Amino acid sequence: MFKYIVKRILQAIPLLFIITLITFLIINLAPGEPIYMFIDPESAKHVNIEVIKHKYGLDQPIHIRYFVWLKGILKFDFGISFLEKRPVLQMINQRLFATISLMLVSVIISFLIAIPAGIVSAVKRNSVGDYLFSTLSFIGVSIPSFWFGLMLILLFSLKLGWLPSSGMRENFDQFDFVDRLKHIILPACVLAFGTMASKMRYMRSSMLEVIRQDYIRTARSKGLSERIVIWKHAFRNALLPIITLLGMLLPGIFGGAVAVETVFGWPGMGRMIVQSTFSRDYPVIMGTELFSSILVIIGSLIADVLYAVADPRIKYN
Amino acid sequence: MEKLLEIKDLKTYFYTEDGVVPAVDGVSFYVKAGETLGVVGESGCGKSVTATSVLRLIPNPPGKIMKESQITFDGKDILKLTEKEMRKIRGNEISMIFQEPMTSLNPVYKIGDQISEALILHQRMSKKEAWEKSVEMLRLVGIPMPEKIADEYPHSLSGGMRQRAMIAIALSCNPKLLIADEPTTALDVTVQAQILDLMNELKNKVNASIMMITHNLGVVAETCDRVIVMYAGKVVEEGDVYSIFEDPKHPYTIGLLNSIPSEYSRGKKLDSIKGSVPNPLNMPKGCRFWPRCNKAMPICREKEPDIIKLGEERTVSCFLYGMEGDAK
Amino acid sequence: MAQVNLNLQNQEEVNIAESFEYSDTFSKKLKIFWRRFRKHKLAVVGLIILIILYTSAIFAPFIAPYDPNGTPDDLLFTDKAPTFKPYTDFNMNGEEVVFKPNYFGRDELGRDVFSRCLYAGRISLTVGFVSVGIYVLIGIIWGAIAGYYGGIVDSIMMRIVDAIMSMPTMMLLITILAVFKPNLYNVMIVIGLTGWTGVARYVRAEFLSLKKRDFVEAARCIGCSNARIIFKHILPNAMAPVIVAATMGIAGAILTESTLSFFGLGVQPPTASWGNMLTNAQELNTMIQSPWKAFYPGFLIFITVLSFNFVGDGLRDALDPKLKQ
Ligand SMILES: Nc1ncnc2c1ncn2[C@@H]1O[C@H](COP(=O)(O)OP(=O)(O)O)[C@@H](O)[C@H]1O
Ligand SMILES: [Mg+2]
Repeated sequence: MFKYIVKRILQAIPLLFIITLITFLIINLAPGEPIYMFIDPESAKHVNIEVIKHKYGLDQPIHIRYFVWLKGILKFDFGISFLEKRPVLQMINQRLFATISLMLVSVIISFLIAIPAGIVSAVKRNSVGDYLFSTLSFIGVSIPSFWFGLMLILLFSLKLGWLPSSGMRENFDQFDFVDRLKHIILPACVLAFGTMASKMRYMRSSMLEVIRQDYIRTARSKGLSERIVIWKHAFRNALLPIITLLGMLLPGIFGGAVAVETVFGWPGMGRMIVQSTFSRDYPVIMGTELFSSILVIIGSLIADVLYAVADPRIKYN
Repeated sequence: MEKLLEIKDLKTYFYTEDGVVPAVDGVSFYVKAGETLGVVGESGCGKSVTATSVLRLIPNPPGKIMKESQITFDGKDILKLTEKEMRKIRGNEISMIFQEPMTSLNPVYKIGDQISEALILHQRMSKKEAWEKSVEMLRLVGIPMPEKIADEYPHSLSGGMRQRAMIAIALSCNPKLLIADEPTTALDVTVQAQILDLMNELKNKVNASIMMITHNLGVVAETCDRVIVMYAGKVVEEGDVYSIFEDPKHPYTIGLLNSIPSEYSRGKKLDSIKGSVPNPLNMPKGCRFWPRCNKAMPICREKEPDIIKLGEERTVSCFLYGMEGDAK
Repeated sequence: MAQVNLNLQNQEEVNIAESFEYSDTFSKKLKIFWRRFRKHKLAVVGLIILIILYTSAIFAPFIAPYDPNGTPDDLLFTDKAPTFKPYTDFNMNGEEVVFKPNYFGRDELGRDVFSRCLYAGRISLTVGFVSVGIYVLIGIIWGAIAGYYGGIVDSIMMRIVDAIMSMPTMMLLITILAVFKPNLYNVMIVIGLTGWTGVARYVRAEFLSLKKRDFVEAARCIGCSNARIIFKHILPNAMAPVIVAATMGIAGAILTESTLSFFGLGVQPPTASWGNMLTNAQELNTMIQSPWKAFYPGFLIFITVLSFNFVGDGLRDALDPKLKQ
């Protein structure tokens, strides 16, 4: 298993490398002077461009520039925000908790619904419930999350007045759990609804695969009840691969978070990147993009390692 | 000896998208208390389906046991029991060993837990008692270091060891009937012999009846008292081991015997039965064996042969023996 | 007589085998395809909805009661609630005239939301096809090369696919559009450039399994060139999952475009797109006072995307039942 984990980490390294390369190419293929990616065009009016170019090493060939830039990234230097004049990493750091907590709550909600729904769909294949869940999952992937969010705000915040429409907290002085919960519930549900579909379908096909297995027949032949056969013997086997699915879904969840955070005024990284586009704050945009990609890779790495720990089969292979 | 299990006119059909598959089509036989019955036939002839029907574990849909079928076990009409009553029989009074030892154990539970499960369920043992009994069962089936193995996951065991563990599960509740569905087919030849020896040895110890399903006549010769021969969902011949081997009646049985190397066939050319198993969706009319039979007569294509009683516990289903004065 | 006809028809149904064969004629394949597709009720409904949407987008100038970008008159009626009857009111010159109904109400500039939705449909419905066209092309070429050559070429190419797949696409799109200029063409190109990875994987997998098959070996034996083998022999066989992925990809592309336009990074006003029509709806006042502005464009996105997804599902059932579980 140790070998497996090491192998998995080694696989992540080229991915990270390619991702930095792609990000770097975006910066350098941009129309106009790439220098404006590093300094604010406003302040650049008053200084000698050549001097700045030299200062940032922009007069050097592209591959050298890449390694210089990469060295900075490896030292956690994501640049300085044009607007706020402080390190991008520091800004991300402030927003990280909000984004992660939103994603975590939404992942929990979506699993709590998707797993039982997927199992019921598989066990009662072609039943009314199966069709219902499959139609629901189609709706989930098809509904624009920003619009769905707006409609929920319209219903629950404006018409019914049950829940706040935006932000993270009302009470800044102390930590109020109920208040937090009220704020997170709508955005988390919207985010969960969009990502639930693939989990449900994956759970369904995973379960269908498992209930055909010989060991399920063995379990039945022991005289176990159908409930135990499904929820004990089949469940654990069908659930394990879902852990790795989480790694595959992370990019989508991040993407979904951008829209949801924007609509609900959630102070996370997604909202920050959208807001930065209006002020053309390139270091923040690029830093957020790169940072979230790295988080995704780390996330799927953790998911795969968890899978290796949870599945006794990996130990012996 | 009394009949422990009696099957009459068992019909198990599968309703697939392509049509109805009559996997088992009117099979009748019985197993007496304490005996080992061999069920032989080429693969696809419905042996496993027969066995799974006894436990009522046919996946439905697509499978269905037809109404006219009758299975009596120990005085109980199996097909009329409720699901709950049926669960009390599975694993407790009738248990089953499967062909695929590599995949028949749940990969995410420990061996000991998988044996304990049946004990806790049927014998109302506590977790600890069940675990101790599991270790004991593992020792009984000849697994070295049973305490350690009970604590392992199936993936650390070889095929032969896993099959022993399966046998331990099957025997843990002292069943009256053990159905062994090709228990050695997937194993190495040397391991096969060990497992068969083990089963022979245990049979005397636990005093269970065994239904030994196999396509290997060598296994039959080694373990069984009586044999039924199946072809395309039907029983074609039945008899004690001695008469089946010495005096086979049905052309299919004769073909089967000729296709295995044995001391009788030494020096002779081995021949196999020509042709192949019929498509279950499109069974030949009349006797299902006639397209491959070297003694086929015109009537074989027209009518299905009746089951003809040749003697005490000796039947054959073939027109060669239907005519007066032609028996024997 | 009627009886006989009926039987003949049944016979024909029976003759159409349930599976496609390499040798089947095109019209026979089409017949089998349609027979299977028809069974998927929701896919048929989706197809009908799409036909209606596309027809009304094409004929928008004839259907739209108002100019989508507004006239001076419209400014008099900002945020007017939906009406289904024509009404009389004063225009800019103080004359009393009859106005056509505003089925979806008017927006903050008095423009007719219904007319804008019709014109916006032209954009959203085009974006899907163009960007998916781009990425299917890239995906097929990429996957074909990787799958056909295998080995080190394959490993490197698939690592790149993995890397792109593990970048949050929305963040990547925002970054690229912020650096380049946000407009309709860039949105289409950028969605095309980032979305091809799934197609590449399908095509590669099909290639890996198909290139060992007899007919490809045979083609190689009679001396066909690599390109010819790829395009004439393997590709047609790998098309089924690609068509399904493309259909669902259109759905995804429409969703992405509308989200980007909603952020202000896509189609720029005054050109209407379903996404940018919602940008202003973010303000709570809008939501309270004129919710119709937020409802209709979003609902149209939803219905369109849903229809494409259903049609894609129907195509999957019809083209390759093995894919269904
Ligand atoms: N789940 C099923 N669906 C359809 N047909 C089945 C199913 N299970 C078994 N059959 C059919 O039943 C026949 C007998 O199978 P089986 O009893 O497994 O043969 P064997 O004698 O090798 O054990 C086969 O022709 C097989 O196609
Ligand atoms: Mg079998």
